[in-house]
Amino acid sequence: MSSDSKNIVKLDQVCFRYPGATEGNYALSDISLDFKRGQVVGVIGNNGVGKSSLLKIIAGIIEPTSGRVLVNTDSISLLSLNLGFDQMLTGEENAILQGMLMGISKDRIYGALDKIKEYSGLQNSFYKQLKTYSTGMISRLSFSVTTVLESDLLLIDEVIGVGDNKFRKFAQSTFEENKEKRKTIIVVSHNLKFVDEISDVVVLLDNGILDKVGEGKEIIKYYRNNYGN
Amino acid sequence: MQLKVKNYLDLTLFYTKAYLLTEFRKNYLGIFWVFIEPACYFGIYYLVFGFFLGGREEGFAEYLMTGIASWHWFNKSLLSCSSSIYSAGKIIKKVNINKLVFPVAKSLSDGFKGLVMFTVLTVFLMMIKGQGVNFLLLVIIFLLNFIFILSLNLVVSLLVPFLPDLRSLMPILTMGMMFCSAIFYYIAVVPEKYRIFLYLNPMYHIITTWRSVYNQGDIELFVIGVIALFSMMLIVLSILLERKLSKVLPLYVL
Repeated sequence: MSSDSKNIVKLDQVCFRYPGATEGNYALSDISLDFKRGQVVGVIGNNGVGKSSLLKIIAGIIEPTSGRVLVNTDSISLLSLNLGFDQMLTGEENAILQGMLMGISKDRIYGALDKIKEYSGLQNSFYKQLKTYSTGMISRLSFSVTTVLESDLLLIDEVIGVGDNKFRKFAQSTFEENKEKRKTIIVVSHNLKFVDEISDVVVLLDNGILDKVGEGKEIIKYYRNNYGN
Repeated sequence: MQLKVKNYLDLTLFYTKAYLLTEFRKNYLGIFWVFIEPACYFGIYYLVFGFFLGGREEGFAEYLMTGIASWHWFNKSLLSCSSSIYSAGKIIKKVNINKLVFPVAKSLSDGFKGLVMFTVLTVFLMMIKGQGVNFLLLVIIFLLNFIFILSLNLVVSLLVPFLPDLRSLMPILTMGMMFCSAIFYYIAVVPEKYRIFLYLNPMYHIITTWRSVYNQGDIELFVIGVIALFSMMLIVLSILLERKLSKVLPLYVL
């Protein structure tokens, strides 16, 4: 852990190569980054450039092949919509399961169930099996669990593009709420407009290499001009 | 984030409950199937081997039912658990979690069904034989059966992501084990020189112990001890293996 409490994540010359990949074929190569507490960081780049691998390394799910990762909190969630969700379980049961998978204690989850139900707007559907839910309802449930059972560091991997406009508005207000609470959010997305609206800093990856880091509008403009997006 | 021990315990128990609920909710009769299935099995075996083919061997139906109950639990649990880590890929790729949660929870849910099955069998045997059983010995053999199944489930489920062919190989291996467990025949019919295959198979000893408990016969404590020790060693090996492979497993699962 870093002694600098302002930095919540520090990556130092991180390289990652998938098992079986040829020598020199790195998914991430020599990545050095610092993220400060309370920052909202957007990670952009074309498909297969290492964005998801970067999040997994920060979350501690996989280890870098070389380099160092320092994460200054134990409270990390990698938000994946419908994490561990089961169609045969109720919304409430799935909320408990997702909370437990996020590493939250059972008591805290049970204490927050009413708030999750209220935040999701699911009302009595909260107690019905997930197989009766629409995609939007499932997304709202998952987002509500993550928001109500807040973590210091929230990692979000491409979940914004999946819902309709109503869900995107719901997601955006959730992001704003997290921002106000000084939670650090690192979000991977292809939705450049969304990334621009919410991010303090944007990281552009290209074939596993850190191409540019900086203010959102500048990086997105550079990305559009140089990568034809 | 690595979950704390208490959280792991809660998560494992919740998953155990979730596995059972998911299964029960797929049927109209729900939880009652846990009782109905073994009761039907035992009823049919008793009718066929104890009644229609009754004159064949005294007590053969009871002998068969005990063997099948233990084998059914072992075989069903091992085959369903073998993919428990592999198929939990969506979760393992998103959460830094101890991967043994899945096979342990699956083994516990199968253990619950095993408990119900042996409860039904015990009541059934007590009724038809008109004699009691030593409940302490029943608990001991039940725990031994559970620990042995759990230990194999843990090891196999950790290996399957790296050796997916194991999923196809397991039914063949368990079939071989089944024929070396003396479920459908008495060991007396096996030539002396081939009995070693049965003696080397822990399931043969577990099934034999179940039968001894129901028949108020002698229990081979040494054999029980060896199987328990072997199972504990496999469990410890699985814990060490999971620690070693934890960060690599997300790259090999579905």
